[in-house]
Amino acid sequence: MSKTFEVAKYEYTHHVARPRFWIALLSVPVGIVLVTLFAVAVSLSSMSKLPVGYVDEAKLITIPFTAPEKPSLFEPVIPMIPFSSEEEARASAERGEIQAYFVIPEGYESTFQIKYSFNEPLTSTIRGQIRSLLSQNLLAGMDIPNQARLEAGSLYTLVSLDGTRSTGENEISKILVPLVVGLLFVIVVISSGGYLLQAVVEEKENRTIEIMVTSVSPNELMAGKIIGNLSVGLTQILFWVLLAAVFVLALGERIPFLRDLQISWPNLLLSLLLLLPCFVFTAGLMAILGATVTDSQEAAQVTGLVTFPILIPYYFFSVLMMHPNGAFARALSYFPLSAPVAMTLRMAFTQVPIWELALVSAMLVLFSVLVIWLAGKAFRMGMLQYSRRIKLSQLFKKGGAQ
Amino acid sequence: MQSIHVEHISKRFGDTQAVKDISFEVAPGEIFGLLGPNGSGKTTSIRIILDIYQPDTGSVSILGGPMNEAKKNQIGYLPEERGLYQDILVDKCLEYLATLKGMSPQQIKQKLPAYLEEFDLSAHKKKKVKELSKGMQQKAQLIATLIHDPQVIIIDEPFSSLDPVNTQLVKDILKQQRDAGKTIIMCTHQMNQVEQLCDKIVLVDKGEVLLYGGLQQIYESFATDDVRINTSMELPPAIPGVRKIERLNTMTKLEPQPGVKPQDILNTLVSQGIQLNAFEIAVPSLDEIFIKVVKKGGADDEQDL
Repeated sequence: MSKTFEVAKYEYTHHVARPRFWIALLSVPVGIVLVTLFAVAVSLSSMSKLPVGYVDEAKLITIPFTAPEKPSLFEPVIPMIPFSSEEEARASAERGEIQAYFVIPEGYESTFQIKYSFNEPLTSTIRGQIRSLLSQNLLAGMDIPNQARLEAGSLYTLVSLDGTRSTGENEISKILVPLVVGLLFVIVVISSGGYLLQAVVEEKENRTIEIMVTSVSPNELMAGKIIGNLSVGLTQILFWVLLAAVFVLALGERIPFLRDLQISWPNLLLSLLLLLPCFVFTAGLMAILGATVTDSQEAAQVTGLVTFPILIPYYFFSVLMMHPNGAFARALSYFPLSAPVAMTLRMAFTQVPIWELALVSAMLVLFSVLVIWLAGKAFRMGMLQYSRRIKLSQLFKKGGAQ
Repeated sequence: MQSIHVEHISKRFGDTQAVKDISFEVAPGEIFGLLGPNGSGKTTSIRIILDIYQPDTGSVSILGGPMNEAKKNQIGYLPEERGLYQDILVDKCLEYLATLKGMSPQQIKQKLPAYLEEFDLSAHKKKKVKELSKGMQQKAQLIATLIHDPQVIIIDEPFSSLDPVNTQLVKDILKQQRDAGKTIIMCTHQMNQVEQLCDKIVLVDKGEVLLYGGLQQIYESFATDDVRINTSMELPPAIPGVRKIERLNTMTKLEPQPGVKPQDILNTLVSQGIQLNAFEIAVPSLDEIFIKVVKKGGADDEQDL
């Protein structure tokens, strides 16, 4: 066990000390920040920040518009200026002092209609501000508990008759969370699995294998390598999650999507539980490939054999969304490589039965154990065949490893 | 008690019989030469001893029984296919390999500087392995083989890439290890090194043992009554009692007729007034024995001496 730990420690420190680890670690958050900043910049530059005027003919507005304490980063707060008459407001608009004005006509309380005249079209921000201004003033003075909730309106949940499918107002966040989790998994598997593959192939290329197997058993060696590289992957995920948490805490209330985000923690936990054995399974497969190929160039070519099936659920995203309990969706969630992403997506769209989750988890654990055993065997078999490829069929022959 | 006991091991890879019924024993405090031409089965035999391969038949006992994980810490192995992690610092690489041999960080801290000093690598310990010359890498690999003070040392071509100074250094270290009671198996093509170091040898070819025994016994068994002389005078075309005269580089080899002893030839040469600068019994070199036995191609049965 201690040698497994030593191998894992070496693998971990060796990879973490490499510049490419830090590039991979930082490129994701830096990329997200850059894309976000770009989106904010584009959003802000395309919107007019000129005030919007209003003419209150209904004598309804007693409380002036107040900007929210934590406005959205993407949508600037537009000042709202009262005008005594429509002519005055129009003149101001024509002088370019305001981008638009709206009139609350007399009898608004019975018609609920307002008129909007503009140089710039009505945006969702302005619409929201007008709605907020009106509702605050309409409800002013009334003793209504949870006034803010009343302003937000009803939240609908749609449930199919058989109870297996449901959807609600925050459907987008229900889909995005598993998508992001799956994407993180793919990134980690590809980067860490790539490290592992590289480590095994390098050992063949460096001719260190013979030294290694006369010091540790092939199984200890493979287990150490897998644990080491898994830890590299988990470090990446942990770093990103912590960074995301800091980001959400600092700016969450100023980003509309994050403000409304609802995370299904049980589903997230289940997804992570599926990811762990799947990572071991994938890492084991990478190790087998590493042991069976002859050099790093060939290793890079075969990586796709493992990474492509992981990505398959994304290609069939709409099928999974429309028929989360269909045969195809089920098949994808039972196949070890595509299982974590497919099952995570299915859980977002439907209520996956517990027995299915238990079955897939057990299957993944079983496959992980099998693949580690095979990786040890492949390693033992392939380690001394420096310039020859091993056929996968050889792995299953009795005693074939020696 | 023998440290290594190899008993009738055989190994086949597909159609190739790599090793066929090989047996030998190595005792503590002994340097054992495992010799043979390329592809003769030496490396396969070593890998079977180290449990990298399982033999098809036969068995190996090492340090009193079959190989197991615990015994790996008592074995130092320098493989034919040299290999160190190229992209890390020399000292880090050696520390890691020593750790895998069960050494604690304290033990490594205590022993590694001395080994680096002994092998003249102290100044290079903070270089990446790939920045070292081939000879330096070879020395670093020897440190990895010896640092954990193994009971059994198995080294394949230990002198390759080494200059004469470092060759002597390694020879001295191997002698020290033998004197300390370690069991050493050495594979090499350099017969002069075998002659200087080995106590016992086995010669294998095409997977079979052709010759096995103590070095002195082997010399004696291949000894003839041939003599080598050195003279500044011109030798006559025929010398009584000599059936063949062969001119070597600085010496002349005389093959006596059957029944004629070296002493008889000496008497004849003296009686003919030939002035001799050197006169010696022509003991065959290990090179000559090697070539003779291998060329014979195992036509005869194994000679167990």
